Amino acid sequence: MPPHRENIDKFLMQASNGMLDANQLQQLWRFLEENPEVLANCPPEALRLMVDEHITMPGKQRLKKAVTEVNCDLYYQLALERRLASAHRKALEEFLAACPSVRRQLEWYQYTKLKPDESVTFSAKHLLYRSRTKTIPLWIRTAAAAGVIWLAWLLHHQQQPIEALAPQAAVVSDESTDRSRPTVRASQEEIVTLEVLPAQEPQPLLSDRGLPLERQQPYFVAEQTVHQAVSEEYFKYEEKINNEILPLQVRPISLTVEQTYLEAVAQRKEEGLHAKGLRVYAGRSWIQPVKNLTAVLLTLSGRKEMAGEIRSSNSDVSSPAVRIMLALGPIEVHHTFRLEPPTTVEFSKQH
Amino acid sequence: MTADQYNQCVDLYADRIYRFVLKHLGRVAEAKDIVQSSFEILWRNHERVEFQRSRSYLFQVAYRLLLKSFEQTQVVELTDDLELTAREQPLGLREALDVALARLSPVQKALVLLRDYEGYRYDEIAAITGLSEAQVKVYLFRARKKLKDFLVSLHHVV
Repeated sequence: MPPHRENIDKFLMQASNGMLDANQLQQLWRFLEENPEVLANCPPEALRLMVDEHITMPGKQRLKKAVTEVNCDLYYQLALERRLASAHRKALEEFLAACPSVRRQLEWYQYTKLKPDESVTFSAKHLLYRSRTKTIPLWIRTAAAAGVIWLAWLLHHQQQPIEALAPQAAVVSDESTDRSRPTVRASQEEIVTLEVLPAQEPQPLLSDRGLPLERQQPYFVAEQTVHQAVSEEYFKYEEKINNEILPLQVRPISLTVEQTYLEAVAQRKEEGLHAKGLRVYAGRSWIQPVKNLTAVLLTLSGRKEMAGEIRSSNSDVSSPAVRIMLALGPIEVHHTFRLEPPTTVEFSKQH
Repeated sequence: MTADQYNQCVDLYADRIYRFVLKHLGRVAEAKDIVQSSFEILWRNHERVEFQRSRSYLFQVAYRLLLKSFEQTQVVELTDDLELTAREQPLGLREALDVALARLSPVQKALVLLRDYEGYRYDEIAAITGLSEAQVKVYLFRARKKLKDFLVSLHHVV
């Protein structure tokens, strides 16, 4: 019998003593809700029992292991990755069947799967390949270079007076030139074959800042050895060579005799270009080989500083071949010239 | 790893790492730099990296370089304002996905790419990225949901 006004006292008494089951408590609670004046007079013990019984966890449904609108994304993703148990898969299918609008949204998940574009390839693989050669440790390379330098110095010292070792740069003779400086007179004519950098010369691997990650070996050592032997000033150019010269391919340039050196420099002056700065590095000395070489004057359009260097192409100092290192390419050959007798060229140290 | 094996790695993985980095960064020159740097680092350590581990090693290095690159580059965050998109030309699915991908955080984007492009397992992705497996799962779930939500919104707007 449900509680009513006549038996409510009996119900409350039984409730206070814990003698009502859940169904009776629910009936009692419903009656009290409908009759607040009775609720106001209820004994606290009865109320406590009833209230405890009716306390429910909000959102209890969400805790159940069932597919809901809240967790359907997770279930769907797991299903797409085939990581969903069959029972849950069935539950998901039932849920989606019941909620077609949610299904339409979830179906977009299958488009979020990315597919690689196989046509995109890394084009510079040749830069990544390495040879079998084991990399020689730096200290060994340094020691070897020092040994070669010492040997070169020793040989050179025996063959030439020490004055020839002084680093000098070719400049045009002018009023201010110190006449006491050594003068070289070109005595013979010789056509020089320019050597082109070998096509297979490895390009330096560049870092993210565009700097070479590793020096070119053994080419660099050979260059370094020769130039260290002739000048300490070489080190000034080391960075420049590393950063600017080595990465460049030198294009072949055929020599044509157009002007003498002095004419070329004079014209250069007329054009407002800096006459100084043509450094002729050939062989051990910057002076002696010049008389046997046909030099090439390279200029950069619109730039006043010297754009090119002529340097020995290999460690064989007797070789007449020169390699033109382009320091600031792209370049244009404006003038070529040949030192012809009795042209006199004076050299002075470049300050 | 021998030099031959290293060169084999170049053949096998250079393209894949390049795709991964390029898709993530969207900048060709930088992507190439990162690939080169990754292989440079592999070469420096090739004597102690086993060939079998080289793939994940390379992705690990590339991933770190990616994040470093992101730190150094100012990235303009895209707004979530969908009205902007609505005024633009309607996007194809691929373009829309690219736009959505760009809205993910660098880590989320990398996780999605590692998962989809390379098919890495969660534990492998965790090893590459240095995250826990649970984190990988959560980040991937959120990333995928973001992508889906963006596509749904776009679809409704268009």
